[in-house]
Amino acid sequence: MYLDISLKKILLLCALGVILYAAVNATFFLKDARYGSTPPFASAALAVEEISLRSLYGFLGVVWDIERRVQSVFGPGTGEVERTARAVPVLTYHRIVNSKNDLNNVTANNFHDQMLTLKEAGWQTITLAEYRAYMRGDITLPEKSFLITFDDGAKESFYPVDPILSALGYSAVMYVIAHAAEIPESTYYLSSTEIRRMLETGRWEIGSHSYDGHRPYSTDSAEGEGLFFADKLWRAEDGRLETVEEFRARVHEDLVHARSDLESTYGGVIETFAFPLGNETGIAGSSNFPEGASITEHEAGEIYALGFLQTSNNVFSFNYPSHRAFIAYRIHVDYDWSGARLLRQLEVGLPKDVPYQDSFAENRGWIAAWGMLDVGTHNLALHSDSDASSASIFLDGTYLWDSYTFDASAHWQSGSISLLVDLIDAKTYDTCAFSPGSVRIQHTESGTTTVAAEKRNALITFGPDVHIGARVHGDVIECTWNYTSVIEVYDRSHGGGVGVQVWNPMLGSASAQLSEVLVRPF
Amino acid sequence: MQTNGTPLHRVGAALTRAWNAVVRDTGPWFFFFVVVYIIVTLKAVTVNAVYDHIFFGTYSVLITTYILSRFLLSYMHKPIRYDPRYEPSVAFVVPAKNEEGNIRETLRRFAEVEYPREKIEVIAINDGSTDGTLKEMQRAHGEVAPHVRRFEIINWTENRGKRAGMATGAFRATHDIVIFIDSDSFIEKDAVRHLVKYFADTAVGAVSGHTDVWNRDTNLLTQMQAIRYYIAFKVYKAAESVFGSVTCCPGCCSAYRRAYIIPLLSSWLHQKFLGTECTFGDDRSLTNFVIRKYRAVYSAEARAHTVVPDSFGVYVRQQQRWKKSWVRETFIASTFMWRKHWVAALSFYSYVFLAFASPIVFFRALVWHPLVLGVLPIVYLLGLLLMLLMHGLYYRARVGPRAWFLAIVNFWFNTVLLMWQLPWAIVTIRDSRWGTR
Repeated sequence: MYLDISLKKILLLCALGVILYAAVNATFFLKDARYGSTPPFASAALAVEEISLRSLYGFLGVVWDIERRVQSVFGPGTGEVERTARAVPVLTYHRIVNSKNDLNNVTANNFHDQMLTLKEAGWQTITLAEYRAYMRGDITLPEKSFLITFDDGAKESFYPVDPILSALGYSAVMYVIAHAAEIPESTYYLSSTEIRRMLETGRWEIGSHSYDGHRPYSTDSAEGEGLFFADKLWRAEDGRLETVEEFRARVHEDLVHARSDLESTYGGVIETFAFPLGNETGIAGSSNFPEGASITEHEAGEIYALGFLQTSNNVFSFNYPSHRAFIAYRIHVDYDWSGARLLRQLEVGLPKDVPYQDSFAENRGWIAAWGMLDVGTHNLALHSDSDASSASIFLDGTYLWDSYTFDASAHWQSGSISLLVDLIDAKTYDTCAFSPGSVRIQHTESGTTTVAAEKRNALITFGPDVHIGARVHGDVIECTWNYTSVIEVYDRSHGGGVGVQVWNPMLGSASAQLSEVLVRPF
Repeated sequence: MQTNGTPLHRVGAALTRAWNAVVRDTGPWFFFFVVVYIIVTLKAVTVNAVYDHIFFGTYSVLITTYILSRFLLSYMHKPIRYDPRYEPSVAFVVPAKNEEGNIRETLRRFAEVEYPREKIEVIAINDGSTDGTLKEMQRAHGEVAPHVRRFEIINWTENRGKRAGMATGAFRATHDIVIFIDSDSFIEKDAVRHLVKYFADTAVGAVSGHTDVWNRDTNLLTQMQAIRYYIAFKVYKAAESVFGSVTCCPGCCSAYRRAYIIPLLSSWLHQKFLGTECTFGDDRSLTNFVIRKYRAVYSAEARAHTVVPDSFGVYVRQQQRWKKSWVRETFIASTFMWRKHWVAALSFYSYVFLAFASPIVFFRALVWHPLVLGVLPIVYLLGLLLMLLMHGLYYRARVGPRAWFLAIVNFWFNTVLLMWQLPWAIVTIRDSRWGTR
């Protein structure tokens, strides 16, 4: 044998062996410590992503910071007085992806653009604790405060996001599906180790997104398409749908299980809940059990202190302190929104001041609760859908308005046209309804309308440029035609914002165009 | 570098030396071990696959272990000093056919060999050349003959094959050690000393020299082959040599003890395999005959250079020839290799398994999985690249600054492209159409 086993070689080989062994072990140890049960190759990919994004945003963060400091010293002042917030918006995202074709998830480029745009416009994130304290009235917040949330607790909600948050000094809340975080070797959901690491950064909080209520369940003997929190589910072992009590018990159990599971795993108090699939239809997208949504809401309200639904066309986009205590609304950031688009969304949702004048050069926050709305060249047109008899719009950011005169100039040639006042949401408001020859004051409460007063008046006729108005103050609601009061009642019960409606018995033909709107303090 | 310069100069020079030592010399070694670390970690991650699929899991673990063991063994290979008291007589045997471009230089080098004149003889065989090879031989004769004891030119008007040339040369030689040199190989001055020193051990029957690529810088293909040759000798042959069971002493530069091979030459010359005469793989076949009873070792200090194909077509044909001879000779060697040292035997049979399993694994990763499972063979190709990167970094670390990375990419590319050659070699084993060149 031609073997050369000198001491030097042996020692060198032993040293190399030890180092190699230690290095390999350290690799696995680090992987487990940092990524939990994520499979090794996925962990490697995440490590690469983390290193590259954190270095990039570490660098960018410094650059942006310097830019901001230079701006604040040398740049022109905005001349604005720092105002405090009267309402706070909440944003919701799912994952941040690279594909432009993912209709549910925002792209990394857009997210970067959105966050940077908001930061440069002066928007700053708040924590959940600050949000809740503000809603209770315990603290004040700067006017441009907002809360960012991410749903589902996916890896792609954290890894592409955290470096940007760190660079901008932002924070966010992750709504974790308690059961999903326990799935071993998941390449989609964050493992509990990763969630702990996330919490340790100090930029993240977590909330409950149900225990296992985020996937489809069966509502019959076949495969599932039902909503866990809104439908009666199929009980396979009994061969029937569940009863109301069983529904309640099941929902209650999931909500409690989620909270206790998250609290025991991560410590702290989990008081907030984001309804799974709480998109445009809220939890009311049920197929077989319309009452399910309200039962769920009730149960959640007993277990959690705050429940998030997504905004719809029926509510104001920001959350006002005096509004419903349990439910709050989140703006869903669409996959194709640029930074400018998101900023605009927030700006039109900001509480508006009276006096307010709108010549409709652009849409400054008019929301179509139902029907079609079009802000064109200096006019606003509303039109009912082809199969409906009315259209209803309201102005975002006007919830806090209380004593004002609301005047509108309109092109009115058919049906009836109404001015909405004291609007709390698209189903609760007071109306000055003008029809040819008559005017009415109505109260609408959660969709149920009662007529408070009605008067005939021959002056009220169609015209290309009619001037209709509504005046509210104290407990008085007045309607005006051509700036003259034509009817009034004294049973006003609440304040609120403004809106417009049109109605026509012939389906699909209700329409009117507004050329100007002016709201002045009373 | 001024040794008597100002203190600043000296400090600067010292710093440069230190920097070079760390970055240029240790740098590649550092990356070499980083690649080893990555490979080991990768294997540790996929080791569970052994339970999923015994065959492929074993292959995966075995190939890594085998290759790492080659590096380890070659590191422990013992170089021996040449013994000035042991100076056997040597005979150079150079069969040549149509090599007018190189033969003169090949033969000329014998005149510059650092060895006693009286102990050298040269036998050049012109094997039916149709070009000016004979003329070049005669010119070389004029230059070399004064420096050796005897220079004989054997001229055959008809081509009889390299094997016949080698056998005739060995028969006609009168000295103790026969050194076979290819007609396009150029030996260093001290090659002879380093070749013969191993024969002091009577158990040794054959010694392989270390051959580098002469036309290294011609193109990417030759650069790639330079790495391949270097690694094949410095790592793989050295590992085999630890146990004296080098399986192929290549014809470009190898030495045999004449007394041991004379009895074998006849059977070697008329070797038949599956009914047909063997016309290629002469060197591997002869080595196989020798290692049945004797040891074959590798001498890293006996250096020669050889010309390699610089066009892809010629390269592919050469590789195909080599694969066929490998298949044949490995089959023969496996009938007696089990008698050798257990590490050598285990290495040999592992290598046989790995070589035959490689095309299957390749097919599974690049064809089967993508078609059936829609899985891209990223791990496989990455693993292959890492292995070759390890070889490239070793080369770079041992040889010094030289373009190696693109050559490794070329190596990887060629490995993937030519994986079919071994199965094809088995299928066409009896087809001797692709004979020498």
